[in-house]
Amino acid sequence: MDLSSHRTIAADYLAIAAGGAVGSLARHWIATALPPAPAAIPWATLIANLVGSFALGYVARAGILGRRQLLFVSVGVIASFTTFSTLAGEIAQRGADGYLSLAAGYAAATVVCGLLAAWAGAELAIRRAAGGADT
Amino acid sequence: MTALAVAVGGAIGACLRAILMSGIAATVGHRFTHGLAVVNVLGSFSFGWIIANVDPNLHPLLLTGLCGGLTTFSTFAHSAVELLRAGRFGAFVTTTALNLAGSLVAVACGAALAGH
Repeated sequence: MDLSSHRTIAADYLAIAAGGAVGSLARHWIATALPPAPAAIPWATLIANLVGSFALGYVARAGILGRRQLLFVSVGVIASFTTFSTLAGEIAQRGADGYLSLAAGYAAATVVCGLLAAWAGAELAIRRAAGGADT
Repeated sequence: MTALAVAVGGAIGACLRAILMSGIAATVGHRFTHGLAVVNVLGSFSFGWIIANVDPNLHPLLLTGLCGGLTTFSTFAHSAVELLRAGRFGAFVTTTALNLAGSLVAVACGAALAGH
């Protein structure tokens, strides 16, 4: 076995772990600043998921990061900043509490706005890249 | 202490996600985003089970950190948009349904499963 490839894999996972710690902490701080109420939209999760989707769309299309930087930023920080388990838990909890339209509205708002955010981030990166090529 | 627990859980969750997704992609290929749906469904099931059965003192480590770091919404949103851009509408519908409905069913099943 080539030992250098083992070091490469270890460094890759170190980058992902460091990014995961940073992204999760940032999400935790937003949730602490905006604690979710049982009968309302959980704004902290919605904001984290939309901001993260825009950022991932941009970074994925911008082509400005090297392989390990991309692992740290996209697989680590951004992917961990956003969450699907908290989203599912919040939707299910509101549904179980009888707030069915709130649950459905929160789910729809997250998915529709999240896709639009990811699309907008990617579109911005593509246009900036094209603009840079023109000049 | 809470911040440290979140950071440790998030680091482990992110690595688990990367291992699972690369393992699944190596097995079934990259054409469909199966790995993403698997981590989101698995993480949502764990979230439901933990919130119903585990001491709240461990929630920052296990819920905010581990499950939050394991699952991801941004990767789902980006993958779904890329499928739309590529005109792969069937795969887009499958990915969206698997992640959204799968995670909702999983979190409810996890919460309904008693830990004793």
